[in-house]
Amino acid sequence: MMNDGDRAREEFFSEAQEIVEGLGRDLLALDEGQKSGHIDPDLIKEVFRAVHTIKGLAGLFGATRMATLSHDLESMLDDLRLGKIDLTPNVLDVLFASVQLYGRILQAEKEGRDQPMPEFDKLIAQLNRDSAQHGVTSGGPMIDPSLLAVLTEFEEHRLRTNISQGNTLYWLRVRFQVATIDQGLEELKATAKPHGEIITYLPAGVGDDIDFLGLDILMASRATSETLRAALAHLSVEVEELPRVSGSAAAPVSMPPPQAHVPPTPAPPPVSASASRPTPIPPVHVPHVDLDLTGAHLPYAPRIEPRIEIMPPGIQSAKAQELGTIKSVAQTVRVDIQKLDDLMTYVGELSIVRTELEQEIAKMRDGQASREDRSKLRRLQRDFLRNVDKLRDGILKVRMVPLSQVFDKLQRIARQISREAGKQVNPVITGKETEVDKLTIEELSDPLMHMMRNAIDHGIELPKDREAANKPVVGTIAINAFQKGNHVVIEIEDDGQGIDTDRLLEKAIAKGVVTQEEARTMSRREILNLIFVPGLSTKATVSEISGRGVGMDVVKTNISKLGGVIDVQSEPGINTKFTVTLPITQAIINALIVKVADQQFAIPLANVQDVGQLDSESVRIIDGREAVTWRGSATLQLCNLARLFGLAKPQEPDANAGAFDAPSLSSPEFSTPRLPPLRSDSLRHDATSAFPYRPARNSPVPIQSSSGRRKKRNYVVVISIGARRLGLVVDHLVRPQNVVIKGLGPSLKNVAGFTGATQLADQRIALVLDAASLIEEMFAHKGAALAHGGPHGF
Amino acid sequence: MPMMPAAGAAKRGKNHDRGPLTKYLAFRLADDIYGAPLSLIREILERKPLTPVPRAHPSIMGIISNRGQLITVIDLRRRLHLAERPETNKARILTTNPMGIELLGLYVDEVLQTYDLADNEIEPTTTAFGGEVAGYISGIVRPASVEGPSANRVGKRVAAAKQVARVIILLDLKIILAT
Repeated sequence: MMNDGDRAREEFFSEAQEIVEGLGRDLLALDEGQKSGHIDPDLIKEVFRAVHTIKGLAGLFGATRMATLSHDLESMLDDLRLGKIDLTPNVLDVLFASVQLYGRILQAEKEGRDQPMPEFDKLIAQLNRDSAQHGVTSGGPMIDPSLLAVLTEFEEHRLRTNISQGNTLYWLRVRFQVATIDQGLEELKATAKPHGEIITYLPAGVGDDIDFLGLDILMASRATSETLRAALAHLSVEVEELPRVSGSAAAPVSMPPPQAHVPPTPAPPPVSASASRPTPIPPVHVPHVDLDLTGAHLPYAPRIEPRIEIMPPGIQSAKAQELGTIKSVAQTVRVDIQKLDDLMTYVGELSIVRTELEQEIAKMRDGQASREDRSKLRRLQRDFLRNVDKLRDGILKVRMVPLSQVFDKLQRIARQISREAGKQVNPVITGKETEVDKLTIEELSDPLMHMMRNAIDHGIELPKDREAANKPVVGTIAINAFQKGNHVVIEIEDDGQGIDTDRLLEKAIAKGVVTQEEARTMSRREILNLIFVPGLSTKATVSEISGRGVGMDVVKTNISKLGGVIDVQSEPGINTKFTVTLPITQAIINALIVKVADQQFAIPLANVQDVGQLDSESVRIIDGREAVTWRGSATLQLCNLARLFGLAKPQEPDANAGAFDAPSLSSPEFSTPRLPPLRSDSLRHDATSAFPYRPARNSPVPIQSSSGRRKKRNYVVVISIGARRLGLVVDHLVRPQNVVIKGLGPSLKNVAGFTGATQLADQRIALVLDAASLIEEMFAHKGAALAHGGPHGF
Repeated sequence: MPMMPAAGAAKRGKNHDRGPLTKYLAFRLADDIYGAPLSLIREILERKPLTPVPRAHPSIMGIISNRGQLITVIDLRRRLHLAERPETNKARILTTNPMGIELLGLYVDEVLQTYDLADNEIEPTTTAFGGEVAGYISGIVRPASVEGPSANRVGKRVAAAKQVARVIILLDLKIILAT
């Protein structure tokens, strides 16, 4: 249960997280602007505001580090805003580093840790040192002091900047009706913005009366006066260009006498009204804007380069840690009100059904139920089920969040990693509005980040190599997401050097993953899939093989845990493309319910490849592992769940179990399976109806063996993760069904083999098996299947 | 199940000089009476079907579902290395979240009653045992000295418990559940 303090803290986290994410996006836009040379001052203001808001939030919640960082950043951003420092790549680096630091601080706050953060101290020291070095810029074009007197420091800076960029200055003269001035101004701003920058608004001070207000607007633009005039004509704006003058002996540029341009004033204002009006600011003359635009001396000499050595060693290493995760710290989901309204509707309908049901039940109780009542009851039941389904779907929708939550972070990371690696990368992202379950996004962020990192580190070549290969110097990483039925597909594709399959294969042979003989028959696709084999994608070997695959096995495992699959394609010298396919939601999955020693377990159908019966006589022990030949072709390692979990069998196995000792190699390994092969993909959508076999609930299935002798049989559920398969030996197959997975508490965190638990219809709880970890466990420990006693139990 | 009636301090007459009182819930584990601050107990649940979790710590009995929420149930007897008794219908599950991390269920053999205790009535373990006592015991109380509830007021069950309740061992749930 959450108390008020927890709730407030949770809100703090989500709000802070949201602002930090927005900050990251703005920085990316600034980065773009910096590269293309068009920095939007509004964006800097936006960043400034975001940091200011974080400062306030942090202060409120006693997050001291966050407040300190924000305070110092704010000073730097203020200088940036006022043009005291330039937006150099180095300054951007500091800003990006700060966003990362915010993330780490939030994480630490969330976990209640208060460990020292050397990178924090370094960044703060850096910010302080830099700010001490910033001098107020001197030089630049002379601006008339009387104009300076009415301009704010920021406006002055913008004026100077625009002059230095060679933009033309215009005075816009406009009169607004006082009543609608806000609207009018907004429209004017919106119309003018594409053409340039509005530097200041000054009251004209003439031609005003009680209903009208004249404004002189100083604007800088690249456009010609004709263009501007045409654009603003519909707003009855008069546009006057300030003449460009060359040389230091510039003619003074002043505002033309306002009266000449002011439309006739309807009537002189009554005295009383004018007295109550604020004193108008006298017209401002700008006699000496010395515009030296010849380019002979650039008016804006390069300013003090902020000496920010970005990423001192401390930050460097801390950054590696920070890069360890891009999960969000917020546990909350912001919900579109429409989604909630829908839920409310379903609940409302359910309440109606409930009332009707109560009436019908009362009739039944009184023995007055007629035939119509019975049919009404059936109708009510249908209504009830339909609304429960809608409610469930509605709640699933509430859990859905757009992929942009993780894609935006990926983009930020791409910028950073590529700078570190000295490579030029252009991430192109599509489909970021695609929605996925919140839980999936959190679990997906790290695997995606690893793939992004790999694409830059090992895929994209250095600029000189790309040039040599006749490729564009800037590499492209395309991230595409789209929905496909009940699944979401995410592709990460780079136009780098591709995977060197020869070297990958060489390595695999050297490591003993494949034999020389197998290697000869392997398809290119099979070889590429070696990237997901643990031994081949460990850190130590990365630099030796094609370079791909920092922990690709881990990536694969994590994606499998989400019920997803990952595939790789690559053409040498052209591209590498990873495709991840995930179920849209994690909260409800299709699972096969099985029984082991009277206890029920759920196995996610996404991991179930096949099911069949097990003939205990066919089980052989190979090198301490139990195995059978599956469907006449491949060897399948078995895992006896009852033994692995130390569960007592409800009845002792019969004597035939002893047949184990003398496995007959010629006998058919499997009796004819009564269950046709299960294909998990065909089951995913409507498992209940597609499941070919439905025993009575929870009832044991008596099986006659071919010899007619009554014999105890077990079932095998083949689970698979990538190329690895494992046969789980269970007592009974109960049924496939949709289950709602709930996580196990921290007290059970260290218990391997389960991803959660689910409540079944009979109020019993079934543990949900973790296919990935079971396979890993059984493959890792030699003879683990036999760890809990001899080969009895089949 | 409703909370046990608190031993009402006001009715007893003698308590005006005892100082601030804290409510403790007394329960039976094996043959002894234990107590924990009532403020830490969220709910007292009847027994429910328990689903054992294979390979979990031996003191974890399994998980139950309480109004849709999964709760891990810990066998306090096993955690304290006490003897186990066959399950009776008096057994209860106390839910608690002392660390603010996870709502846990504590299996006890029987819930007895609450006691209002002043700090000075609790004997610190250091004076009683010379400091060589497990950290999870926060104090010892002799209910007789606190004036236990009279049998006619709370009923037969408490009277029965009173025979063994010479001593109530107060537990520090945070320490027990942290390990």
